[in-house]
Amino acid sequence: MPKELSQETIDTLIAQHGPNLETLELDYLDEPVVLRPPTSTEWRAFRDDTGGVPVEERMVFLAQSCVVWPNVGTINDAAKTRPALFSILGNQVAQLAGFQSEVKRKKLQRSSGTPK
Amino acid sequence: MGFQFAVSKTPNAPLVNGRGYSLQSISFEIDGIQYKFGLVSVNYKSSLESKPLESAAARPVAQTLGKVTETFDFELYSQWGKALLSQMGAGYGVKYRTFIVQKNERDDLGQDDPQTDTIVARIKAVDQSSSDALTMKFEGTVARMEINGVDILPKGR
Repeated sequence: MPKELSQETIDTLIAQHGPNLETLELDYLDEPVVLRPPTSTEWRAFRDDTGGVPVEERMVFLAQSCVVWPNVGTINDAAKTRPALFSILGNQVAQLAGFQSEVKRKKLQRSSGTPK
Repeated sequence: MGFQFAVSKTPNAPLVNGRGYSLQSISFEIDGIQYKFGLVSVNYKSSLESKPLESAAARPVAQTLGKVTETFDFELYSQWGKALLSQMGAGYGVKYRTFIVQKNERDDLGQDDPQTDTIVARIKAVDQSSSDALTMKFEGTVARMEINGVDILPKGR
């Protein structure tokens, strides 16, 4: 089980990257992973397929860019033995960016029986 | 549920020192972040130019140790260039960064023969004058360059 972050570390990360951070706990990492949402330019680069690279591969960039704890070198080392790590992190970052694979949709209706 | 787009393009082959590689054969990391997906080309070279020490004799008596000249530039698709600029932030021209180029070629026996080149440099120019509006070129001032782990100078020089 990953050890918890100290309050000092949490305060530092929020000061550096803003309040919209989320943590993930992965059994094979000693520390929780803290992610920030991508900037709009990072998101556009990730979406850019000028080079013709499949999006699954571009996930690596998105994940590495948005890991704020531990450092990206630690994540890169972990990914050598856990090659799915970037896909997991990349999908989480995509959700932080506002992407949702399932969105609730319903017809807009007037509420009935409500007096005006 | 994963994040998916349909992609039907043929991947480009980035150029490393003028030679084309498949994306599976190379890696281009900037401070640990993989930028090969946006890479158009990367060029780097280390050279040591020495001069002869002249005397009254017809032949030079020796050669100077020489002066190292190291050049480094790379070109990214513009969306990736913009992302790099935003990640580097203000003051990007004064901070040294580590650029790692890995390339893998098969030897004549069909065995993988990977090579890792490390360049420590800071960005001295962002050139957008290329005729291709989809790309952005970065030029670096090199502090250190190792070709497959080997520096052109002996240690301590």
